[in-house]
Formats: sequence, structure tokens, C-alpha cells
Amino acid sequence: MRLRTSLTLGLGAVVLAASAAPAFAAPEDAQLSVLHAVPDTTVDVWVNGDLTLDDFTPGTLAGPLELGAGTYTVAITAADAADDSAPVIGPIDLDLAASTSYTAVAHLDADGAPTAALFTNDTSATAAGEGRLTVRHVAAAPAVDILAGDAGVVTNLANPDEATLDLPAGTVSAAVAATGTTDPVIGPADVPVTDGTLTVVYAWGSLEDGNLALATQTVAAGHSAPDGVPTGQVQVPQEGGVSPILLVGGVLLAAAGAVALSRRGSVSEGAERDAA
Amino acid sequence: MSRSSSTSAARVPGTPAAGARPVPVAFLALALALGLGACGSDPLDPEAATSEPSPTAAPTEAATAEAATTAPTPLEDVTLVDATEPVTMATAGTPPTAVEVPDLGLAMPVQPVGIAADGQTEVPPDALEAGWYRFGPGAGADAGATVILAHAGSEITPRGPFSELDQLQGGELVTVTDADGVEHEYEVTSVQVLEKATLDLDPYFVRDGEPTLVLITCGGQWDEAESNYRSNVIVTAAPVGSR
Repeated sequence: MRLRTSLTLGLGAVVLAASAAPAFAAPEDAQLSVLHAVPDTTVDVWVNGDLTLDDFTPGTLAGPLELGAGTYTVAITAADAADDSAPVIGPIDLDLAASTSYTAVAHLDADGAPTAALFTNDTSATAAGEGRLTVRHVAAAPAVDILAGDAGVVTNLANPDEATLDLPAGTVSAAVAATGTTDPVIGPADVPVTDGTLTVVYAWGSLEDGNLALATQTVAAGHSAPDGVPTGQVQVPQEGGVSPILLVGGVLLAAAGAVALSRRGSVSEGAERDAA
Repeated sequence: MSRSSSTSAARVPGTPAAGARPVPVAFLALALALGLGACGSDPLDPEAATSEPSPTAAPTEAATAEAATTAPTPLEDVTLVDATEPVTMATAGTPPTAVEVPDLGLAMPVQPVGIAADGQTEVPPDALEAGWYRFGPGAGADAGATVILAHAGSEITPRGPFSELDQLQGGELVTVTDADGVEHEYEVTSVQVLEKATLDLDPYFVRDGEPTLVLITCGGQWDEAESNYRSNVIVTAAPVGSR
């Protein structure tokens, strides 16, 4: 029964609409988020013919949906459409690989026509103390420069391109300016850059219509342990060996070329011992 | 092998795709997922079996009629967020401000530390102060390792309290006070002296799994040439409560 059902469902193409139950997600699933970045238009989103997002409003980020690897057909229709037979965007086929994070974005192209793009989110491990910032141009606007604090600048980013920077963790002030200028057309806005996290900033909307804006998404990425924990600045004197005052003197003497500090025996090297 | 996706197809009855053609890979993955889904999640909704679409790519008249009379039902539990709102940094737990090990007479203030230019942790210069690795979980986090470190000895304080960590046997209590004044109690579960040359720090800086407290200092043999200890002393403790 189970197999027959799956076969029928498979052949009927009503497949894998979208599982929205991350608690049961298999680790090898693809993760698909969907961003609505077409101003002033509420839509429905259909995945493989199934209504997945109803009355999806501009500026909203949905997901992530946990999906088995494979190809999914996404169509975006006017809100309240009975089916996906008359899409305003798509249908487009999304090839999703296992264990990979994606964001599908419904947006305007550079000339203002609705379109959609699939971005792959870089969730590889960040270096210790660093976070990752990806900027995506999905606005009806010419190429832009993106100013990310003092640390990062992306120049000449065109719709629908993206750029990724690994930056020290902290908060950056992000602004979008026409290429070659520094006068912001969007922002500046504070954007967190977090160790072990990908922050994605979208420039969306329309320059002509005066509704350019930022949208932000965060995606969990891998993190890294520090390269070391250098907690041995000086050799610790044995208990009761030398008074602190003498030690201060010892440091001074050492600076003068003496070896006063070297006479303390070291704690014997111990093998790993589990005390529990 | 659990595939939650096996249940999702059942949620939208009577809305066969128009022109959607799953590629063979997708189809096989689906069949596999459903066929081998015994260890998986929910059983298929019985409704799915009764509203099976025709095994052709084109919608049947029946299905079309059903779609026309039954309003399509979207997935109910997709998380929606307003992406135009400013994002705030998510924090796990609360920053520790003090650590105590009564059995050692150890009581130290704790300040946040990050990463130095060389990729190693920053360490408070005075061995009387401990540092909390601020990129990892704070005290009271639901998961992962809260890491607190200090010099065994420093130029300011040649014999610091953490130099005694290797005296712990296991079972001792450790109390961490956080910035909200909450005291988190832990019990020492392991004390290890591990050579830095071969030490993999990853397991001590995890952000998932059981919540733990990890205390790190230096110890083992003093390397005169390197002017540093050859090993790290790493104490692991498990939470036993908070007040």
C-alpha cells in the first residue's frame, strides 16, 4: 500500500510538496527558503502543483522547507488562484541537492519585470570569530556598490548577482549606493555578522518606484573552534615555593637576564584522565 | 533515513500539478523515501490514498473538478518572518560574570573574550580573571559548551586559581553566575591534560548536544624554548541546576 501510494504520487507528480516539519527532517534534506521581493503584489506559491504559500506578501521570508533532494517546479500565481496554470512568475525548475541551503527569491529584474532566482546559501564553517555576509541584488535598479561598514565593500553588483564576505563578528552598517557613488539609495542599516551564521542582505524593490528596501535573512552555518587556548603566559611556581613579592622581584631579575623563574619544577605531564 | 517529506504530499488533496514532471532522480528519491519510510515519521494521511491523482502528468477531469470545488489548502506550518524587520543577533544562554569552585577556593570574575589576531582565543591578562568565549553559548544555554578560560599563571599573577584545575577529581561543584544574577551549578565530569600539539579543540567548542561547562587553562610540562606549557588542562562539567 505504501509503495503503491508512493508510485502513484510520484507518477502523478504530486510530489514532495514541502515538508514544514523540521523536527522530522532528515539531515540530508535540502533546505529551501522563499523570499517574496516583488513590491505591492500578494501572491500564491505552488510547488509541484501544490499550494505551498497562500497570500504570500512582499517582504516575507518563508521556510526553510525541508525537501528531499530533487527537482521541484515552482510557480507563482496571483493570490487566490485555483491552481498554478496561469503563473505570473515561472514555472521554474529548482534543482535541489541534498544537505544544501537555498533561497528562492521572487523579485524584479533590472528592468522591473517579475522573475525568480534560486540562490545557494554558503553554510560552510566560518573561521572562529567570523561571520559571513552575502549581499544579493534583486531590485529593479542598475548595478550598485554595497558598503558594509569599513571592512567590506562590494562594487558593481548587478541584478541578480550576489557577493559574499567573511567578516569579523559584530555589527556592520550596510548601505547600498549606485555604483561609483557613496550616497546611499538604501540604508545605512545595522546588520549583524555572527560567528557561525550566514546573514543574507537583499536589495529589493524598484528605484523608479521609489520603494528600494533591504530584506535580511539569517541561515545557520558551520563554525570553527579557536586555533588554540594560550593560557600559559608564565610557568606557575610550585605552591609554597616563592612568595609573590619575591616573584615580582624574580620577574624583574629575569628581565635583567637572571633565570630566577626557571628553578620551579613543572607539574608532571599527565596522561588523559577521566575523573568521572 | 526518516523522511518527513513523505507526509507532505498528503496535505494538498486534489491539486495535481499542471505540467510538473519530476525527474527520475526525484521520483526515485520519493519512492525510496516512502517505501523505506518505516523508521520515519507520520503514516501517510489516508486521504492521500483516496484522492490519488491520475498516474499521468495531465490533470484528470475528476481532479480538475475537485480542484474547482475545493479551495486549495496551503501548508499550515511554514515559518513566516518579516524580512524587512531588523535582524537581531540570536544569543544562546546568558554571559557568565563569575565562576567559583568552592573545593579549590576558586572565585573569579569572568569577562567576555573573543579571538586574537593569531586565531587563538583572547585570554584576560591577569590570571585572577577568567574569560568567557563569547562566540559560543552563554550560561544556561539549551545546548553546547559554555567555555571559560584563564591563564594558569600570568606576569601579573604568577600563580592563578586556574593552575589548580588539574587537582580536581570529578564530582566537585562549579558555580557560574550570569549577567542576570542567576547561579548555574555544574558537577565536574572529567579532567584532562592534553598536549596542545595534537589537541582537537572542536569537541570543547560545540554549539549543539548536551549543555556543558568547559574550563580551560594550561598545564603539563613547561616548554622552556617555547616559554609556554605543552598542554591544556580541560575540565568538563555537567549542569545540575540553577537558582
